[in-house]
Amino acid sequence: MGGLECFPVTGEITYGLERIAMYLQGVDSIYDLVWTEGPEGRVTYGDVFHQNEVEMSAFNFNEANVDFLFHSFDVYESESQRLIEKGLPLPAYEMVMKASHAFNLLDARHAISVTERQRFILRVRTLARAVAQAYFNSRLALGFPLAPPALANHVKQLAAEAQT
Amino acid sequence: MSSDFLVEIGTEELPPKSLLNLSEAFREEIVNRLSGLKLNFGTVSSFASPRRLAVVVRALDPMTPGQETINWGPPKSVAFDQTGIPTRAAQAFAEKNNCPLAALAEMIEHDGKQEKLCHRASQPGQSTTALLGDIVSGALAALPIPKRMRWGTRREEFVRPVHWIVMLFGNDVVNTQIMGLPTGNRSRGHRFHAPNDIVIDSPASYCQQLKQAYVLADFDERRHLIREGVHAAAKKAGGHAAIDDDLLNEVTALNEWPVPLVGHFEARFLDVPAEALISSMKSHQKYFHVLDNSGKLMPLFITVANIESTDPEQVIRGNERVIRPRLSDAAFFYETDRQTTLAQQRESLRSIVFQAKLGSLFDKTERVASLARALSETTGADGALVFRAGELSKSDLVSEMVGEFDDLQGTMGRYYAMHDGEDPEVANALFEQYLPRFAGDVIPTTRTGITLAIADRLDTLVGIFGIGQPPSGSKDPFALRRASLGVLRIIVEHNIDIDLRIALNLALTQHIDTSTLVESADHITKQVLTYMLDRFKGRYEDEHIPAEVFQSVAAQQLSNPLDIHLRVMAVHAFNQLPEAEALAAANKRVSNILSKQTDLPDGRDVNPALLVEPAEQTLATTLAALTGAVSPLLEARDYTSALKELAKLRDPVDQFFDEVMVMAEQSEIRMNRLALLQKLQALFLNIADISLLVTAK
Repeated sequence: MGGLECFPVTGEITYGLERIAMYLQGVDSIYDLVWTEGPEGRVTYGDVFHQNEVEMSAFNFNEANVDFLFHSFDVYESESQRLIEKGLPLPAYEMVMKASHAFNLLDARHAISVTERQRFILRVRTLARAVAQAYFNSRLALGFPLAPPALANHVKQLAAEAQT
Repeated sequence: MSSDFLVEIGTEELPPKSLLNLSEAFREEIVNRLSGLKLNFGTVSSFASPRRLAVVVRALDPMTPGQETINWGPPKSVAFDQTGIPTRAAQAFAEKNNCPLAALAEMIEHDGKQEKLCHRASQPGQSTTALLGDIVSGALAALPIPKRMRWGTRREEFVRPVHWIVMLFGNDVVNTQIMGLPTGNRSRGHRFHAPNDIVIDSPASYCQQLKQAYVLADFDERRHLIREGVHAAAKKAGGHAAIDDDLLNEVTALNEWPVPLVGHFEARFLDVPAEALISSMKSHQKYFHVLDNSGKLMPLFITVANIESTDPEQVIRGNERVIRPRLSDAAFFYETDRQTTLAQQRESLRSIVFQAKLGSLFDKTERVASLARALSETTGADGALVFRAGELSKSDLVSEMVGEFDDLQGTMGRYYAMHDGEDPEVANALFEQYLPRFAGDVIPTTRTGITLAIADRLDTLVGIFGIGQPPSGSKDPFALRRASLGVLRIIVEHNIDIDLRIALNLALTQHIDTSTLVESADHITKQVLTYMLDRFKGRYEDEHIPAEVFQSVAAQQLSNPLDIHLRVMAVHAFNQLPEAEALAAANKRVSNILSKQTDLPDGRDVNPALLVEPAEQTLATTLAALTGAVSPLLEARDYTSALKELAKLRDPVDQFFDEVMVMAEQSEIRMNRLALLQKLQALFLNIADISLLVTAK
């Protein structure tokens, strides 16, 4: 993770609740999902979210300010680097997320060419690696308080060997 | 007594595209290790399904053969002194073989020449059971897995997490550890149909027992079943299934208990190009598509479920629900793309880099268009049409559809060009420019397509070579090797009479910003020409034409691929004639003789008055007659007939060398004979350097 080998290996399971609800309710469109049976009658997912979908699509694909986003990306990137140097990996990670979001919006606006795209992905990845390493270092300084002692000692020893 | 051996590695779902490779490699690695230990065995079968790799070896020896080792030592005369006491040499021998000095006297044998010390030791065979753990572990470690994964709190690595290992030799468990897991006889059936452990009784019953647990472990059997099932389902629906081999293998690797099911999609989607619908069904959903009797796509798909559902309708509905939004996307992309013409789309190519030093994709289309027009006279195409095709050639790369399905490049270009009202020849060229896409693929058929296909590749070739990044053995990011092979195929198969050197020079002149080029233009042209013509080698190798046949032609430094090809075919035919061997040898002899002459001017005339021997007179007349006969054949590039004519020289040449002494004392006669040989050599060199064929014999 972030270029670091994990032990134990971490796992993650992600489910789309809407997709499961569509099966359970037997509907073909997400907007037909029943959100709730309210006092004024049935409220659907569409009633709640359709306007949001329309407006955000207009924003994502047509209105997002490209110049501002390019500028934002650069600022988030340099902020993330600055925070890492201050030994603050968690807020630095926030900046990586924001940089990544700016990239996604730029991509949706077709503002990034094929070759530039690779370069942007690499820039985000470089930030992520630096954050992972900085977080590892801060936990190492604390002695990995949440890890089983044997494992913590093993990793501390490996880190010490890597230093020399 | 020999017994059957079974190993099964139980895993989480294996990567479907590499399952077959893994299975074959596992089998091979085990077989190699058994053979290496000199164990005898019968047939070997491999099994592969999403959750398991297994191998059954029939009638495997229970023990490795014993080995006798023989070590010869010093001769008896050296090993013992006159009194029979062992010398230092004998002591060293005893030490090395770990035997007492006193035993040496009993260890003298005759090696056929003399008496020597000889130590014999026999090592007993090893029990196969004890070796099987290492054999399996070694085989697993050797599997071709690009990136191994780890799982949980374990250090072992494999392509996917391993959960159980079955190892039986006969009916007994081979007790050992594989991947950190104890081996046993408990396997698992289908994840849902037979979720409990099953005890495998013996290697022979493995396949049958798994079948009872809803797992068809035999890959071929499963594949056959799917093929039949998909065809039957399509037939029932009134059409016939299009089954792609790669997709069939992938689907086979995704199922342990395959059940083909037919689903439908709305007919309105058929307005979208069939290629896009098929690509969507195939690459995202692993569905087989169905064609009607006229070859038109039907609004159906066949999916293969890994379960015998009690309610197949639900499975079908679930699949229909998934494919609908995919097809809707395709329809939306198609509709959106058609609102912009390819000519308009071309503008957005300005911001897309083709290669940092070679400008944008827009720049590339400018170069390709001009180059195609410049080549059109040679290729017999219409200059205006190829120019237009060149301009539009990359526009579809920025379409929504190609952004989603990159394998539709060119295909969508053709559709959109037709929609824009471009000339059909231009539209077809947009598709044909990418042909051939792989070895054995079709090649372009229209003159515009042919020209565009050649121009696009030549532009890339001179560009990438020009900036000093020629491909290396492992690195060829612009697929220049394939590009070169494609150009050669198109030229040869369409009989295009084109001088590549001139064509490459034309390509180079399209690169206006020559400051990025690291070499001189001539050097680049020469480099690319050599690289491209070198691709012929591999091609002829595949056709089992000996390397020296191509060498004999390559030595002529030609740059017209069609001409080269015709000569290679002719020399190959000549090489099978009975006269070939002798004439190749004679040419070699001639070239050896001539290469040593420093004072012989080129093209010296033969003086008939100085021909004294009958054999040289015969050779001279035959040469003169053949020169006349061959000349029109060469003109017509009928090299095969020309060489057939020249084969008549065999007897006169043999006779000449038998009866005539070339290096005659009298200078005038000597020079005359050398001039005669020069004529002989030149006649063959019109076609190829036949002397190079000698190595083959």
